[in-house]
Amino acid sequence: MADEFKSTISDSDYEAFCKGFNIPPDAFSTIELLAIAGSREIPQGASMFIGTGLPVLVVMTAQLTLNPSAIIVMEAGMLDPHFEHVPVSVADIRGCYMASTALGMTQSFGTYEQRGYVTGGSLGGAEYDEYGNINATAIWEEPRSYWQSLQVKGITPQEERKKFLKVGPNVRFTGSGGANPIGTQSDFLLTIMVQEKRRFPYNCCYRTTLAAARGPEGETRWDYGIPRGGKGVMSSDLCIMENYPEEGIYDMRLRSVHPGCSLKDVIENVMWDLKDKSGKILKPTDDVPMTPTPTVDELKVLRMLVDPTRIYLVRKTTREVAMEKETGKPVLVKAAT
Amino acid sequence: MANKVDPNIEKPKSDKLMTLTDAVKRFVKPRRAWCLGGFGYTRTNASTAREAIRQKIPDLYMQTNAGATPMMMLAGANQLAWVEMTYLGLETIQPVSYEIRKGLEDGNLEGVMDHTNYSWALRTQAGYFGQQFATGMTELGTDLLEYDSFGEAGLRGKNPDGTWIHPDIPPKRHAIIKDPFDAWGLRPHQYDPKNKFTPGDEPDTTMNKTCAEEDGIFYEKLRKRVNKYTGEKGPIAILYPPAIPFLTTTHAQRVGVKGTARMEGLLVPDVEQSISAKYLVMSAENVVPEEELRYRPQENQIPCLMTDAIIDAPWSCYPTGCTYIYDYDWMWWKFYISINRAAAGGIEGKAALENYWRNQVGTDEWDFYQNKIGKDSFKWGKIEAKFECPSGATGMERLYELRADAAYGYKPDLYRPV
Repeated sequence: MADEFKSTISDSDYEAFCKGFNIPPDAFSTIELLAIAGSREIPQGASMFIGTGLPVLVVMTAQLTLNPSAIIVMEAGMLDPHFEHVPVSVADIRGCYMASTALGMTQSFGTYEQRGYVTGGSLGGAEYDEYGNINATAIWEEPRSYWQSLQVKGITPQEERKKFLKVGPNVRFTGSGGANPIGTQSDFLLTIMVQEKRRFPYNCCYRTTLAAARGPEGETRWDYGIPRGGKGVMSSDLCIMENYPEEGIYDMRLRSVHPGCSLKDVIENVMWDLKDKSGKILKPTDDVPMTPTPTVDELKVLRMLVDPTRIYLVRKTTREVAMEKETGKPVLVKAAT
Repeated sequence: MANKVDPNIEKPKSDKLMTLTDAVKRFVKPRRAWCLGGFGYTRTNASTAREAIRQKIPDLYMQTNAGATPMMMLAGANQLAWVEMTYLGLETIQPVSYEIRKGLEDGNLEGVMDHTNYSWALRTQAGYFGQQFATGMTELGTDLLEYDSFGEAGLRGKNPDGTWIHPDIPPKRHAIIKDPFDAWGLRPHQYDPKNKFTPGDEPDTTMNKTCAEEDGIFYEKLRKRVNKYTGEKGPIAILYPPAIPFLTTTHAQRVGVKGTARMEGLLVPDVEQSISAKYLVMSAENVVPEEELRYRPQENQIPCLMTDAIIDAPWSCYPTGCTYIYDYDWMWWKFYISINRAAAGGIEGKAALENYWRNQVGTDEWDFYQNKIGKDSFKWGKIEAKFECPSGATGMERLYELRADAAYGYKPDLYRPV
């Protein structure tokens, strides 16, 4: 489908733009791949509840390529904006430009979402488990816990707290923000992750956002009373995974491996037995589909229209940084023409 | 005939007008819930946080719907005890506010009560309407329902004499009940599937299509399963108590002398949070005659009756933006995220960060605006940083550089390097 899209940006303008940033016009980085691969996952005309960062790039790219009727909703209260400048926060006033309405939080989650006008959500997180649950709150190992010093020490004066031993979680993250209700109230969830083994455990340490299920049959979102959603797609820097709750498949199955990556990389970077849609446990030597390669026309849009000042596109994944260090050159994969 | 506005009016007089110093002294109290308005980089009520730092008010209990900036300021100044919040991050520039994160990890910050943006919005909505509770579709099946910090700490419920253990903390985080209306109110709603009453009619026009459907009946999947919370079959509802902050401080572009207020641009959580509070302090970019706002009362969000105090506070949101007036100062965050890692440096690192804040806020707001903005610097251990912006402007000159373009509500060419 991406092959059908032809950009109106001329090759000469595009090449001059790329020259200005010293980037090759016909090769893409991981963040560019994630943005373009994600943009193709958005159903035609979907109303997408998005956070900042990659989700912004994903939906803007979709709108400016093959999915112009896709709608953006942002949690600070914007409905259907058309950004001229990339917002850096879900409450960045840049996110209101040409919006239908720009109200508040009760409207974004209530009037737009709970009322039934947000079909998809796009999120990231710190941990992602076999069923697609997301942890955006905290990670701990015993003897530490989620609980903070309030529970351990009781109410203590400010000065005395300076003497405390370490008592909170090992790593504290942002907490839910909009991640929980976006996952609960949308028909489907597109999650974008950096894939590292430690971040893809069998079970999340803390479930901030619920997927189709917490575990096997009997642990589905309907067993917990959620009346909507369940479909999940996850695009990492290595692969795309998907569940099929309508067919009783609640865990995340591999759909495709990204160009430039191998199935071995994917298997080595999850803690569970990776399966394909049929339920077969995959081995590194198995044949699996490849994610369609981004095209130069899609890159033109992403680079020149979506993030022309490269606020987000300049970013690199930890894997890219490590490979660059090893090879001494940028990690780029050839785009399709 | 309506009163005419005198264009030569010297300065509106109001018995609610207070100085920032007096308002903070009067209303900001240790361990009483203080809800700070704004969200992320937008219309944050930063001046009251600065004044609380000047007055060294300890053990603050802050409530916010993603207002990370004042939370970060007060944690950096080592004045926070509890945060009741939805999100600790600064999004693009620093995913998790470092001083809060370290404070929670090492125990210096006593506690965090986690909510979601929607559950907190529902609590403020209940507070806004004076409802006993509000209901919504959020948090079910997740660990947000399992980890109740205030409950674990024994801060919920009543004392033997019948008084609340903490007046600002409800007796339960939430409650889950069987839906007494059997999912009738959920959307998409199944109006008339067999077209008995309206031949030719279509299903609910909502964009969402999933509805736990089974045997062609919406939400039947919920009716046939025993759910984990009530142990019974049937749809459930989650209820949230209202938020009733002891104090809410909110910044608005215009506040009338009697307290009528009009916010422009995104309202974020501010209307509900403001009206939920026991005491409401409105901080004003411009204090204006009431008439200026009353010619178009439909555009005002805060009724004069709700406002307990008004602060004349231009530029108050800096370093965040005030829509249509000035943009956020991205370069300040660039500076600050390079220094707040000192929070990981034990007592000495935290003290260095605290000293930065004590010095940076100045003696009052005008000292801050004129003499401190753009002159930030920090040195501790290996961490050394200085505020830098391309123009080299400082003080009021820097503030005027951030002026918004009226067509956008922000400064379209704001320099935002990553």
